Amino acid sequence: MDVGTPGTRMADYLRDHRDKVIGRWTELVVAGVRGRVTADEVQRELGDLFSLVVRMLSGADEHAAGELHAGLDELSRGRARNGFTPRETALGVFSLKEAVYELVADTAELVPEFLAFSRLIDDLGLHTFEAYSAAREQIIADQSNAMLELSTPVVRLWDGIIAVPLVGTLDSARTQLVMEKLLDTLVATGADHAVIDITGVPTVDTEVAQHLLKTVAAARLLGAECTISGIRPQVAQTIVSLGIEFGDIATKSSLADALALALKHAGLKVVPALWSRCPSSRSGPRCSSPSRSTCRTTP
Amino acid sequence: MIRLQEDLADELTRTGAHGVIIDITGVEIVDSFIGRMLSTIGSISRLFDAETVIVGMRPAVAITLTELGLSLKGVRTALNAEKGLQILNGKSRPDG
Repeated sequence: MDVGTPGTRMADYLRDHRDKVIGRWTELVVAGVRGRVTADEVQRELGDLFSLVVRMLSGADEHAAGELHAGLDELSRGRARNGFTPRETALGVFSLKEAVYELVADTAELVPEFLAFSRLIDDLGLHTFEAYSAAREQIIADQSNAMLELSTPVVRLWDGIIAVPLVGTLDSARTQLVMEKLLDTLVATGADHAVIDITGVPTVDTEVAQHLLKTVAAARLLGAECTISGIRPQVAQTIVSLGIEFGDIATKSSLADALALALKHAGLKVVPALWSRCPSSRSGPRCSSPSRSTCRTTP
Repeated sequence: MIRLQEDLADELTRTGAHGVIIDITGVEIVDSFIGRMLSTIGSISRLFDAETVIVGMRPAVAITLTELGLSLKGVRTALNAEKGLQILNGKSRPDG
Protein backbone atom coordinates (compact mmCIF):
# COMPACT_ATOMS: atom_id res chain seq x y z
CA MET A 1 0.00 0.00 0.00
CA ASP A 2 1.32 3.43 -0.90
CA VAL A 3 1.11 5.51 2.26
CA GLY A 4 3.86 8.04 1.44
CA THR A 5 5.11 10.74 3.76
CA PRO A 6 1.81 11.52 5.53
CA GLY A 7 1.70 7.90 6.62
CA THR A 8 5.22 8.05 7.98
CA ARG A 9 4.46 11.20 9.89
CA MET A 10 1.29 9.67 11.29
CA ALA A 11 3.28 6.59 12.27
CA ASP A 12 5.78 8.74 14.15
CA TYR A 13 2.97 10.60 15.86
CA LEU A 14 1.23 7.37 16.91
CA ARG A 15 4.50 5.87 18.15
CA ASP A 16 5.07 8.94 20.34
CA HIS A 17 1.59 8.73 21.85
CA ARG A 18 1.37 4.93 21.97
CA ASP A 19 0.30 4.49 25.59
CA LYS A 20 -2.25 7.29 25.45
CA VAL A 21 -3.90 6.00 22.25
CA ILE A 22 -3.99 2.37 23.37
CA GLY A 23 -5.39 3.42 26.73
CA ARG A 24 -8.24 5.38 25.19
CA TRP A 25 -8.83 2.73 22.52
CA THR A 26 -9.09 0.00 25.16
CA GLU A 27 -11.51 2.16 27.16
CA LEU A 28 -13.80 2.61 24.15
CA VAL A 29 -13.72 -1.07 23.19
CA VAL A 30 -14.34 -2.31 26.73
CA ALA A 31 -17.32 0.04 27.03
CA GLY A 32 -18.65 -1.38 23.74
CA VAL A 33 -18.42 -5.08 24.61
CA ARG A 34 -20.26 -4.72 27.96
CA GLY A 35 -17.81 -6.53 30.19
CA ARG A 36 -17.59 -9.79 28.32
CA VAL A 37 -13.83 -9.39 27.88
CA THR A 38 -11.49 -8.06 30.56
CA ALA A 39 -9.67 -4.79 30.00
CA ASP A 40 -6.26 -6.52 30.25
CA GLU A 41 -7.19 -8.95 27.52
CA VAL A 42 -8.43 -6.18 25.25
CA GLN A 43 -5.32 -4.09 25.94
CA ARG A 44 -3.06 -6.98 24.95
CA GLU A 45 -4.99 -7.64 21.72
CA LEU A 46 -5.14 -3.99 20.79
CA GLY A 47 -1.46 -3.45 21.67
CA ASP A 48 -0.49 -6.06 19.09
CA LEU A 49 -2.83 -4.55 16.49
CA PHE A 50 -1.57 -1.07 17.22
CA SER A 51 2.05 -2.07 16.62
CA LEU A 52 1.04 -3.63 13.31
CA VAL A 53 -0.91 -0.53 12.26
CA VAL A 54 2.12 1.67 13.05
CA ARG A 55 4.44 -0.67 11.13
CA MET A 56 2.11 -0.60 8.16
CA LEU A 57 1.79 3.21 8.22
CA SER A 58 5.54 3.70 8.36
CA GLY A 59 5.76 1.76 5.09
CA ALA A 60 9.12 0.25 6.01
CA ASP A 61 7.84 -3.28 6.34
CA GLU A 62 6.00 -4.98 3.44
CA HIS A 63 4.86 -7.91 5.61
CA ALA A 64 3.04 -5.62 8.04
CA ALA A 65 -0.15 -5.41 5.93
CA GLY A 66 -0.45 -9.20 5.69
CA GLU A 67 0.22 -9.66 9.38
CA LEU A 68 -2.30 -6.98 10.29
CA HIS A 69 -4.98 -8.64 8.17
CA ALA A 70 -4.18 -12.02 9.68
CA GLY A 71 -4.36 -10.53 13.17
CA LEU A 72 -7.73 -8.93 12.41
CA ASP A 73 -9.02 -12.20 10.94
CA GLU A 74 -8.03 -14.01 14.11
CA LEU A 75 -9.69 -11.39 16.32
CA SER A 76 -12.92 -11.34 14.27
CA ARG A 77 -13.17 -15.12 14.21
CA GLY A 78 -12.78 -15.21 17.98
CA ARG A 79 -15.48 -12.55 18.36
CA ALA A 80 -17.84 -14.42 16.00
CA ARG A 81 -17.37 -17.70 17.91
CA ASN A 82 -18.00 -16.04 21.25
CA GLY A 83 -21.30 -14.60 20.09
CA PHE A 84 -20.41 -10.91 19.75
CA THR A 85 -22.59 -8.83 17.47
CA PRO A 86 -21.17 -7.47 14.19
CA ARG A 87 -21.40 -3.97 15.66
CA GLU A 88 -19.28 -4.87 18.67
CA THR A 89 -16.70 -6.54 16.45
CA ALA A 90 -16.39 -3.68 13.98
CA LEU A 91 -16.30 -1.17 16.83
CA GLY A 92 -13.04 -2.77 17.92
CA VAL A 93 -11.37 -1.28 14.85
CA PHE A 94 -13.35 1.91 14.41
CA SER A 95 -12.71 3.08 17.98
CA LEU A 96 -9.04 3.51 17.08
CA LYS A 97 -10.10 6.30 14.76
CA GLU A 98 -12.02 7.96 17.55
CA ALA A 99 -9.19 7.53 20.02
CA VAL A 100 -6.72 9.14 17.61
CA TYR A 101 -9.15 11.88 16.58
CA GLU A 102 -9.54 13.00 20.18
CA LEU A 103 -5.76 13.43 20.32
CA VAL A 104 -5.19 15.21 17.00
CA ALA A 105 -8.34 17.36 17.12
CA ASP A 106 -6.35 20.35 18.33
CA THR A 107 -3.40 19.83 16.00
CA ALA A 108 -4.36 21.50 12.74
CA GLU A 109 -1.25 20.46 10.76
CA LEU A 110 -2.09 16.73 11.04
CA VAL A 111 -5.38 16.93 9.10
CA PRO A 112 -4.20 15.32 5.81
CA GLU A 113 -2.43 12.60 7.77
CA PHE A 114 -5.53 11.94 9.81
CA LEU A 115 -7.68 11.68 6.68
CA ALA A 116 -5.35 9.09 5.16
CA PHE A 117 -5.27 7.25 8.48
CA SER A 118 -9.05 7.36 8.67
CA ARG A 119 -9.35 5.80 5.22
CA LEU A 120 -7.02 3.03 6.28
CA ILE A 121 -9.08 2.31 9.39
CA ASP A 122 -12.28 2.17 7.32
CA ASP A 123 -10.64 -0.37 5.07
CA LEU A 124 -9.55 -2.43 8.07
CA GLY A 125 -13.07 -2.18 9.48
CA LEU A 126 -14.54 -3.65 6.32
CA HIS A 127 -11.94 -6.38 6.40
CA THR A 128 -12.93 -7.19 9.99
CA PHE A 129 -16.55 -7.45 9.02
CA GLU A 130 -15.78 -9.76 6.12
CA ALA A 131 -13.78 -12.05 8.38
CA TYR A 132 -16.56 -11.93 10.96
CA SER A 133 -19.29 -12.96 8.53
CA ALA A 134 -17.09 -15.65 6.98
CA ALA A 135 -16.56 -17.12 10.44
CA ARG A 136 -20.29 -17.01 11.17
CA GLU A 137 -21.12 -18.73 7.89
CA GLN A 138 -18.56 -21.40 8.70
CA ILE A 139 -20.19 -21.96 12.10
CA ILE A 140 -23.63 -22.32 10.48
CA ALA A 141 -22.32 -24.74 7.85
CA ASP A 142 -20.60 -26.85 10.54
CA GLN A 143 -23.75 -26.96 12.62
CA SER A 144 -26.02 -28.01 9.78
CA ASN A 145 -23.53 -30.71 8.81
CA ALA A 146 -23.46 -32.00 12.36
CA MET A 147 -27.25 -31.97 12.45
CA LEU A 148 -27.50 -33.93 9.20
CA GLU A 149 -25.20 -36.61 10.56
CA LEU A 150 -27.01 -36.80 13.87
CA SER A 151 -30.49 -36.99 12.50
CA THR A 152 -30.35 -39.90 10.07
CA PRO A 153 -29.76 -43.19 11.81
CA VAL A 154 -30.78 -46.45 10.17
CA VAL A 155 -31.50 -49.17 12.72
CA ARG A 156 -32.01 -52.88 12.37
CA LEU A 157 -35.30 -54.03 13.90
CA TRP A 158 -35.09 -57.69 13.02
CA ASP A 159 -33.37 -60.01 10.63
CA GLY A 160 -34.20 -58.51 7.26
CA ILE A 161 -36.17 -55.58 8.69
CA ILE A 162 -34.64 -52.14 9.09
CA ALA A 163 -36.12 -48.85 10.28
CA VAL A 164 -35.35 -45.20 9.61
CA PRO A 165 -36.69 -42.93 12.36
CA LEU A 166 -36.90 -39.47 10.79
CA VAL A 167 -36.74 -36.45 13.08
CA GLY A 168 -37.13 -32.89 11.83
CA THR A 169 -38.11 -31.35 8.54
CA LEU A 170 -37.34 -33.26 5.36
CA ASP A 171 -35.69 -31.14 2.68
CA SER A 172 -34.04 -32.28 -0.54
CA ALA A 173 -30.56 -32.49 0.94
CA ARG A 174 -31.73 -34.59 3.87
CA THR A 175 -33.87 -36.84 1.71
CA GLN A 176 -30.85 -37.51 -0.45
CA LEU A 177 -28.80 -38.44 2.63
CA VAL A 178 -31.58 -40.59 4.13
CA MET A 179 -32.09 -42.33 0.79
CA GLU A 180 -28.39 -43.07 0.37
CA LYS A 181 -28.08 -44.38 3.92
CA LEU A 182 -31.21 -46.49 3.65
CA LEU A 183 -30.17 -48.03 0.33
CA ASP A 184 -26.62 -48.69 1.54
CA THR A 185 -27.98 -50.39 4.64
CA LEU A 186 -30.40 -52.46 2.55
CA VAL A 187 -27.48 -53.68 0.45
CA ALA A 188 -25.18 -54.22 3.44
CA THR A 189 -27.70 -56.14 5.55
CA GLY A 190 -29.62 -57.83 2.74
CA ALA A 191 -32.85 -56.65 4.36
CA ASP A 192 -36.02 -56.84 2.30
CA HIS A 193 -38.25 -54.71 4.45
CA ALA A 194 -37.78 -51.11 5.53
CA VAL A 195 -39.93 -49.06 7.88
CA ILE A 196 -39.78 -45.28 7.53
CA ASP A 197 -40.98 -43.77 10.79
CA ILE A 198 -42.12 -40.14 10.49
CA THR A 199 -43.23 -39.61 14.10
CA GLY A 200 -40.61 -36.87 14.43
CA VAL A 201 -41.51 -35.07 11.21
CA PRO A 202 -43.50 -32.00 12.29
CA THR A 203 -45.42 -31.39 9.08
CA VAL A 204 -45.97 -33.33 5.88
CA ASP A 205 -46.62 -31.17 2.86
CA THR A 206 -46.55 -32.10 -0.82
CA GLU A 207 -42.78 -31.65 -0.97
CA VAL A 208 -42.08 -33.90 2.00
CA ALA A 209 -44.52 -36.49 0.64
CA GLN A 210 -42.77 -36.34 -2.72
CA HIS A 211 -39.47 -37.02 -0.98
CA LEU A 212 -40.93 -39.96 0.93
CA LEU A 213 -42.37 -41.45 -2.26
CA LYS A 214 -39.01 -41.12 -3.98
CA THR A 215 -37.27 -42.91 -1.13
CA VAL A 216 -39.79 -45.74 -1.24
CA ALA A 217 -39.49 -46.02 -5.03
CA ALA A 218 -35.70 -46.26 -4.77
CA ALA A 219 -35.92 -48.93 -2.05
CA ARG A 220 -38.36 -50.90 -4.22
CA LEU A 221 -35.86 -50.90 -7.05
CA LEU A 222 -33.54 -52.78 -4.72
CA GLY A 223 -36.29 -55.29 -4.11
CA ALA A 224 -37.24 -54.06 -0.65
CA GLU A 225 -40.75 -53.28 0.52
CA CYS A 226 -41.32 -50.09 2.51
CA THR A 227 -43.85 -49.18 5.16
CA ILE A 228 -44.41 -45.62 6.37
CA SER A 229 -45.26 -45.47 10.06
CA GLY A 230 -45.82 -42.87 12.75
CA ILE A 231 -48.52 -40.90 10.98
CA ARG A 232 -50.15 -38.67 13.57
CA PRO A 233 -53.82 -37.60 13.35
CA GLN A 234 -53.01 -34.03 12.30
CA VAL A 235 -50.55 -35.29 9.70
CA ALA A 236 -53.16 -37.70 8.35
CA GLN A 237 -55.62 -34.81 8.03
CA THR A 238 -53.08 -32.66 6.19
CA ILE A 239 -52.19 -35.50 3.83
CA VAL A 240 -55.82 -36.08 2.95
CA SER A 241 -56.70 -32.40 2.55
CA LEU A 242 -53.68 -31.85 0.30
CA GLY A 243 -54.80 -34.80 -1.80
CA ILE A 244 -51.50 -36.65 -1.44
CA GLU A 245 -51.71 -40.24 -2.63
CA PHE A 246 -49.37 -42.80 -1.13
CA GLY A 247 -50.58 -45.33 -3.67
CA ASP A 248 -49.89 -48.93 -2.73
CA ILE A 249 -47.40 -48.03 -0.02
CA ALA A 250 -48.51 -49.45 3.32
CA THR A 251 -48.96 -46.84 6.04
CA LYS A 252 -49.34 -47.53 9.75
CA SER A 253 -50.00 -45.31 12.72
CA SER A 254 -47.23 -46.70 14.90
CA LEU A 255 -43.86 -48.31 14.49
CA ALA A 256 -45.17 -51.37 16.33
CA ASP A 257 -47.89 -51.89 13.72
CA ALA A 258 -45.35 -51.50 10.93
CA LEU A 259 -43.06 -54.06 12.58
CA ALA A 260 -45.97 -56.48 12.92
CA LEU A 261 -46.73 -56.07 9.22
CA ALA A 262 -43.09 -56.58 8.26
CA LEU A 263 -42.88 -59.71 10.43
CA LYS A 264 -46.03 -61.02 8.77
CA HIS A 265 -44.53 -60.46 5.32
CA ALA A 266 -41.37 -62.22 6.42
CA GLY A 267 -43.48 -65.17 7.53
CA LEU A 268 -42.82 -64.60 11.23
CA LYS A 269 -45.28 -64.40 14.07
CA VAL A 270 -44.98 -63.18 17.64
CA VAL A 271 -46.67 -65.46 20.15
CA PRO A 272 -46.81 -65.56 23.97
CA ALA A 273 -43.79 -67.21 25.58
CA LEU A 274 -45.52 -70.51 26.30
CA TRP A 275 -43.46 -73.22 24.70
CA SER A 276 -46.42 -75.57 24.51
CA ARG A 277 -48.16 -73.10 22.20
CA CYS A 278 -45.24 -72.92 19.81
CA PRO A 279 -46.25 -75.00 16.80
CA SER A 280 -42.75 -75.67 15.52
CA SER A 281 -41.44 -76.85 18.91
CA ARG A 282 -44.24 -79.34 19.27
CA SER A 283 -43.80 -80.83 15.87
CA GLY A 284 -40.29 -81.43 14.64
CA PRO A 285 -37.05 -79.51 15.23
CA ARG A 286 -36.42 -77.20 18.17
CA CYS A 287 -37.62 -73.62 17.83
CA SER A 288 -34.63 -71.51 16.71
CA SER A 289 -36.14 -68.05 17.00
CA PRO A 290 -33.88 -65.15 18.00
CA SER A 291 -35.92 -64.29 21.07
CA ARG A 292 -37.69 -66.42 23.63
CA SER A 293 -41.02 -64.76 23.06
CA THR A 294 -41.09 -65.31 19.32
CA CYS A 295 -40.81 -68.24 17.10
CA ARG A 296 -40.53 -69.02 13.44
CA THR A 297 -43.68 -70.58 12.18
CA THR A 298 -43.87 -72.55 9.01
CA PRO A 299 -45.55 -70.37 6.39
CA MET B 1 -29.34 -53.19 -25.79
CA ILE B 2 -31.26 -53.92 -29.03
CA ARG B 3 -29.00 -56.93 -29.53
CA LEU B 4 -29.76 -58.11 -26.00
CA GLN B 5 -33.50 -57.87 -26.66
CA GLU B 6 -33.20 -59.95 -29.83
CA ASP B 7 -30.99 -62.58 -28.18
CA LEU B 8 -33.32 -62.77 -25.22
CA ALA B 9 -36.40 -63.24 -27.40
CA ASP B 10 -34.64 -65.95 -29.45
CA GLU B 11 -33.48 -67.73 -26.32
CA LEU B 12 -36.90 -67.56 -24.68
CA THR B 13 -38.49 -69.14 -27.76
CA ARG B 14 -35.81 -71.83 -27.92
CA THR B 15 -35.82 -72.84 -24.25
CA GLY B 16 -39.34 -71.91 -23.23
CA ALA B 17 -37.96 -70.46 -19.98
CA HIS B 18 -40.36 -68.98 -17.46
CA GLY B 19 -38.02 -66.61 -15.74
CA VAL B 20 -35.42 -64.01 -16.68
CA ILE B 21 -32.88 -62.66 -14.20
CA ILE B 22 -30.97 -59.56 -15.23
CA ASP B 23 -28.00 -58.94 -12.97
CA ILE B 24 -26.96 -55.29 -13.13
CA THR B 25 -24.34 -55.38 -10.38
CA GLY B 26 -21.78 -54.16 -12.87
CA VAL B 27 -23.85 -51.22 -14.03
CA GLU B 28 -22.65 -48.06 -12.36
CA ILE B 29 -24.27 -45.39 -14.51
CA VAL B 30 -27.77 -45.43 -15.98
CA ASP B 31 -29.75 -43.04 -18.09
CA SER B 32 -33.41 -42.90 -19.08
CA PHE B 33 -32.69 -45.02 -22.17
CA ILE B 34 -31.38 -47.96 -20.14
CA GLY B 35 -34.23 -47.55 -17.67
CA ARG B 36 -36.76 -47.78 -20.48
CA MET B 37 -34.96 -50.71 -22.07
CA LEU B 38 -35.18 -52.67 -18.83
CA SER B 39 -38.94 -52.12 -18.81
CA THR B 40 -39.13 -53.11 -22.47
CA ILE B 41 -37.27 -56.35 -21.75
CA GLY B 42 -39.80 -57.03 -19.01
CA SER B 43 -42.67 -56.53 -21.47
CA ILE B 44 -41.03 -58.73 -24.13
CA SER B 45 -40.45 -61.51 -21.61
CA ARG B 46 -44.03 -61.32 -20.45
CA LEU B 47 -45.17 -62.03 -24.03
CA PHE B 48 -43.30 -65.32 -23.68
CA ASP B 49 -44.94 -65.89 -20.28
CA ALA B 50 -41.67 -65.32 -18.48
CA GLU B 51 -41.20 -63.12 -15.43
CA THR B 52 -38.28 -60.69 -15.28
CA VAL B 53 -36.36 -59.99 -12.09
CA ILE B 54 -33.69 -57.32 -12.02
CA VAL B 55 -31.12 -58.03 -9.33
CA GLY B 56 -28.05 -56.43 -7.83
CA MET B 57 -28.97 -52.82 -8.45
CA ARG B 58 -26.55 -50.39 -6.82
CA PRO B 59 -27.93 -47.69 -4.51
CA ALA B 60 -26.61 -44.92 -6.76
CA VAL B 61 -28.34 -46.49 -9.76
CA ALA B 62 -31.60 -46.79 -7.83
CA ILE B 63 -31.40 -43.12 -6.83
CA THR B 64 -30.73 -42.06 -10.43
CA LEU B 65 -33.66 -44.07 -11.76
CA THR B 66 -35.93 -42.59 -9.11
CA GLU B 67 -34.78 -39.07 -9.90
CA LEU B 68 -35.53 -39.78 -13.56
CA GLY B 69 -39.01 -40.83 -12.51
CA LEU B 70 -38.60 -44.41 -13.70
CA SER B 71 -39.98 -47.04 -11.35
CA LEU B 72 -39.51 -49.98 -13.76
CA LYS B 73 -43.14 -51.00 -13.93
CA GLY B 74 -43.68 -54.56 -15.05
CA VAL B 75 -40.44 -55.97 -13.72
CA ARG B 76 -39.66 -57.35 -10.28
CA THR B 77 -36.55 -56.35 -8.38
CA ALA B 78 -34.46 -58.21 -5.82
CA LEU B 79 -31.35 -57.46 -3.83
CA ASN B 80 -29.26 -60.30 -5.23
CA ALA B 81 -29.46 -63.24 -7.63
CA GLU B 82 -30.34 -65.62 -4.79
CA LYS B 83 -33.40 -63.62 -3.81
CA GLY B 84 -34.26 -63.17 -7.48
CA LEU B 85 -34.32 -66.95 -7.90
CA GLN B 86 -36.49 -67.26 -4.81
CA ILE B 87 -39.01 -64.91 -6.40
CA LEU B 88 -39.01 -66.90 -9.63
CA ASN B 89 -39.37 -70.18 -7.75
CA GLY B 90 -42.48 -68.84 -6.10
CA LYS B 91 -40.95 -68.77 -2.64
CA SER B 92 -41.52 -65.09 -2.38
CA ARG B 93 -44.09 -63.42 -0.21
CA PRO B 94 -47.58 -64.12 -1.47
CA ASP B 95 -48.43 -60.43 -1.83
CA GLY B 96 -45.15 -59.32 -3.43
